[in-house]
Amino acid sequence: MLFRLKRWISKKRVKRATLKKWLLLEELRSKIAEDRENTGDLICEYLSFAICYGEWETLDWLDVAKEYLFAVSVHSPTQKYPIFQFRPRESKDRVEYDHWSWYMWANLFAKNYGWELDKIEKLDIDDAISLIHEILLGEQEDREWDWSLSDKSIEYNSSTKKAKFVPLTRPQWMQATPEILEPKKIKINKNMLPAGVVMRWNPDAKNP
Amino acid sequence: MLKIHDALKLYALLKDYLPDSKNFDNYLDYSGIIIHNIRESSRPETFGECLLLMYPDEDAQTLLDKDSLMIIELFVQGLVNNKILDLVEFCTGINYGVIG
Repeated sequence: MLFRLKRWISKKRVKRATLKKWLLLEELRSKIAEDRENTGDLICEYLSFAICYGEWETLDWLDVAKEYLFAVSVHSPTQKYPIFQFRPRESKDRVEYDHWSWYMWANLFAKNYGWELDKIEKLDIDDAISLIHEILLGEQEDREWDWSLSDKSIEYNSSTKKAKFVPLTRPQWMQATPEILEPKKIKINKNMLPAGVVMRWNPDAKNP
Repeated sequence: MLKIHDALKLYALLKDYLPDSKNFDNYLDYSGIIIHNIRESSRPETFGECLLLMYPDEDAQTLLDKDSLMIIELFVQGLVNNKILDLVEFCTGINYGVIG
């Protein structure tokens, strides 16, 4: 009864997470998907962190599921960002540890804007993601500039005796989505058309 | 209704025998296909494991002593009580059991 009341009050007062809390919650969410052995415990841990501390494991599963979906919807960005639309390639060189994503994001903000950790952790989720976009785009532009000045950016074709500029490959999320073009109208010679009268279907006509 | 840990165990047991939940809005039809799939599988003991999970207060022998129709009824009732369609939707939504 007491936990029910606590949950109700906490849900009414729950505020969207700021950057650090959101990153930690997302880390838990990815563990929920990966760690099959402890999914139940991780869901309860997520709820304790996202809504309020309590004995979530004593509730019916449906209540837990509803609260979990509610918490996920509250603590989420308000729009779809291209950076999250592609899963990054698994890198063997990368050393990951607990709360790695928070330190990675904090490092980017501190390096680029000179902000303190206190300020970074209180950033709004949408602001933080948009700023990370800009930082990563800026870094990519710098890399492309350096690349264009290096010898590697020019490819010489000995058979045509011509040099060609090879652009630096961009991460998938930075690439513009290909535009879907309408098929071109091709004129066909009359002699290639079928013999006889060509009837075109007209749904509006009274006697098609 | 089951608690979250046992509900996830139930999903893990049934995962391989579940038809596509999008085609069903009726618990009886859905449960019927699950029973059929378990019976046709190489692991029919899943049926008993699910029953013991859904009825933790019932003794295994008491369950076995019931006639087959009664056992099937209990199984279907267990799936209905535990809202199996919602459980499947939730578990697929969180990618439970996709890896591993």
